[in-house]
Amino acid sequence: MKDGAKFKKPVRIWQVFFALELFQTTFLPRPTFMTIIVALTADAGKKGGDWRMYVRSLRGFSGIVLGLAVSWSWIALPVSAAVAATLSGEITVKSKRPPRNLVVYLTRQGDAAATAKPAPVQIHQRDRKFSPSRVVVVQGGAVEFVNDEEQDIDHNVFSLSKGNKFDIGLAAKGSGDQVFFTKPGIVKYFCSVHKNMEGTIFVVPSPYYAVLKKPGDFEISDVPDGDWVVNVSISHRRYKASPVRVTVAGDTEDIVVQLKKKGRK
Amino acid sequence: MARIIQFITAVLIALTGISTPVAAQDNARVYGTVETKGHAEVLAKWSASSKATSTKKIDYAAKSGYGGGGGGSDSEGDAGSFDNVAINYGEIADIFVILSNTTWQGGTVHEVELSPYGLNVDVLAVARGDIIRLHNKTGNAYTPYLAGTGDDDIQDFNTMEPGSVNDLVVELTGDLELGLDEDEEEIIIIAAGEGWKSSRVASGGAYEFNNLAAGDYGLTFWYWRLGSLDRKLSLKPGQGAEINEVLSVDRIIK
Repeated sequence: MKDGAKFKKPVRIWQVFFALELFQTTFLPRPTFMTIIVALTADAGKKGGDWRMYVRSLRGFSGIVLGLAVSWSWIALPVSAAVAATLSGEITVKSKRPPRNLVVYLTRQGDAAATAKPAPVQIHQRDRKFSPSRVVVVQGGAVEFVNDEEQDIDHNVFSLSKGNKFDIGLAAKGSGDQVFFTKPGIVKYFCSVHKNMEGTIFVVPSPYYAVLKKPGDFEISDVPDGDWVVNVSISHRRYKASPVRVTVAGDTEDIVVQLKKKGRK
Repeated sequence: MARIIQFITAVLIALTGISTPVAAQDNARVYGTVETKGHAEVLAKWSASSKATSTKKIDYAAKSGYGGGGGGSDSEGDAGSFDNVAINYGEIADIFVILSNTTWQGGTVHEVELSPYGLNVDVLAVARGDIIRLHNKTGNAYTPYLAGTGDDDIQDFNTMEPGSVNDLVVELTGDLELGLDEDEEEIIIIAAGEGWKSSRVASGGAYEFNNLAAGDYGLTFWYWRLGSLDRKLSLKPGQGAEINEVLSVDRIIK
């Protein structure tokens, strides 16, 4: 019973520990969390806490479970912190008529290509329109062109864009054709049967991007810690972006990327 | 006196020789017709469907490509009906035939008007050194630019006051756009290359390049939306080469 009584006390400490761990993961930066732990430890020491209880607690099954859980939490903590960072900022341009339809994207410094292949993005062909006509695809990923016309209408999808030329041929109602995009850039695509059917695919080199209708605030979530370059893909040929290097270590704010007219300083 | 006459005669002969272009001596030419055609399968489908169901008369024989086009009624899909939704390959106007020779310099003038209704030209094929003469016939100032796909592919031009004319000398080559800072919607699609001469042809129309020197040439048939077909030819003095081409969707996109 005595041991059991002693056993209960460290369990309560663990509960506090877990609560703090969760709280920290959600709300606090790591240094703040460590300060709280140190303070609690000191406090426990002042009150004559016996830290051998901690070791004893690990003898039992509950202790093992708790020990594993704690180990997991300590391992998981840096990982969760790494994928939870949000990078935010602003795209600026000095122009009375700023360009529309931008894609802000990140590239790893020294590593341009994305490694994971995301699920295909679908573009529907219905009522003789592409929908959506403008999409973003991660390099190496695919677009599935789906002819889901209600009537018997054939379509074709093709592009002559450099590096990403393709032609799915004539596609009947009900068909679905996947096209993979291996080079970053802007792909203009058309239907060779219907005159108003055209669209744009932004192929970006990483899965970390944000789509903007016009210059302004942007936010990219789940960015791993590390060194990144923030860039902007613009379909309007008059403009180009000045890429910005940034080191992400937790949430990163106030990144400013300027768009400029080409050729003008 | 005789020597003076001989000298003057020699100078005149020399000058005649200099002023007479080699091309005129060779007097070769390239000519032909060009037309665009849509998907054969679609055309056949529409044709069959119209024969079976439509009361509308479709004179496919009178047109090249898709004939009257075809779009679709609610009940028939695309089959045998017309509503200006489909591309009418038989009536495409902006086909370019481009003859190229590495010794040619630019200098051809391409007239373009900007009116309150917009630019009067959608597509151009030009050579480096050609001049796009832009007439600003609006009541507003506009600033034209020429842009390629690369970050540094740009030509800035001065802002044009209402009523002014500006000669824009093309220095870039490749896939270009002529745009206006003040109006994102107004764009001319431009293909530009070295030593090009171009002829704009409507589908089914004829082209002709005369007074050519003997030698090697490139011949390109281009419709901006579908792409191009390239030919090479070697002309002898006095030769007339007839080259007819069909830009078929089934053939040139892939």
